[in-house]
Amino acid sequence: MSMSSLGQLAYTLAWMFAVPTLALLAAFAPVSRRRLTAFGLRRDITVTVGNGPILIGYLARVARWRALGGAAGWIAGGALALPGGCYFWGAAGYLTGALTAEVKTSVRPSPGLRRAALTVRRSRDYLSWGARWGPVLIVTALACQMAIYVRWPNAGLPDVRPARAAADLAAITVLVIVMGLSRRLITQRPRPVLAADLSAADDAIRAGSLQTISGASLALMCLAATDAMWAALLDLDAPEPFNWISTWLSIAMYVFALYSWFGVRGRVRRPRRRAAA
Amino acid sequence: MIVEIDPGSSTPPYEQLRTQIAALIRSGDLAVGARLPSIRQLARDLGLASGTVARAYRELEAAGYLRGRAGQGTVVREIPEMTETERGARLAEAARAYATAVRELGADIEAAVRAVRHQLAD
Repeated sequence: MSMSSLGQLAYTLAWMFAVPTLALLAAFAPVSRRRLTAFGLRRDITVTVGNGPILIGYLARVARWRALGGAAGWIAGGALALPGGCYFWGAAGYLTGALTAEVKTSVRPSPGLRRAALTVRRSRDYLSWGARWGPVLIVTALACQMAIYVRWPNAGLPDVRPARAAADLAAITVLVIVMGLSRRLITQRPRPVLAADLSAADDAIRAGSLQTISGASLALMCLAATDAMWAALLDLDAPEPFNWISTWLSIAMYVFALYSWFGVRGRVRRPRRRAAA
Repeated sequence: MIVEIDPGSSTPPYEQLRTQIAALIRSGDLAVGARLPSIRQLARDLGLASGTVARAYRELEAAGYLRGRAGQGTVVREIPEMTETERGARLAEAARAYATAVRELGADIEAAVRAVRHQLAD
């Protein structure tokens, strides 16, 4: 083995293990007061003696599960050379970890009388615009691209492999289902009538979880859609302005993937309180 | 608008829920057209079985307080007119449930009536 290929191997291994190691180290560090304060400030909630331990527990648990899932996915994607590589499988692992962390998350009521508010809880009250409409935008963009491709394939002989398109479509379908089910799970989680500070913490936890899971799901949907869209674009023989539209749709999908991961995932929307009347 | 269930009460949970929602509608706290939470959501929030909440909703629908529509959820209807006979029957039913609770507690009649007067005065 030559020195250059050895160097390349070392670089690949370092990249494959450095990112998950750093993520795990950051996630398993104790939740600092600064982080707790920042979480409270961004969501406009006051951290009290009552809700502080709940928020600390939540922040620690979700960060650890997400990092564990992300690290496992990242390493598996790189080591097994799975299609999509480290990025896609790292994000998929992160999403799996985020979903796992939600299973046991809830604010427990005190024993005695059971009280509940007669208000309808909906996931859209907790989600930002991008998280709510992202799936529709992605599917619409993909459908437009595919419609253009079907109409003007290169030399009349389609070169986009059906298996690849089917795999991308299956991934998007699975992600839409996962996102829908997780939204339902988190929104419908029991919410007894609690003290004001605990209610605020509960709302912040729900909103944070919904936004994170939606952002990660959207980023993965964009990556799957981009794969199919880019293949179609490279094999396209469309006249202007359809060629131009197709190119920009593919670029926009990349940009939306980045926005979903770095923007939607961490975005804060204060839950809208809806009266029953 | 808050409903509460006392697990230790002799009145069944579905009846506690039914009477509280009906009272909120009659008092106007729940306006006509207001949407109520889904059966599943309310059952989880109160720690009850879905069937218990479903029964309360069903009885309120039968009494004309609520209307359930596919895709719209359960919404409050106009306050149904109640005949004197119906009102008397409902009152007797509620009094019977209260009398059972009073006997179970071993309270005397004076104390029971005083408690009722106090609640009605609230």
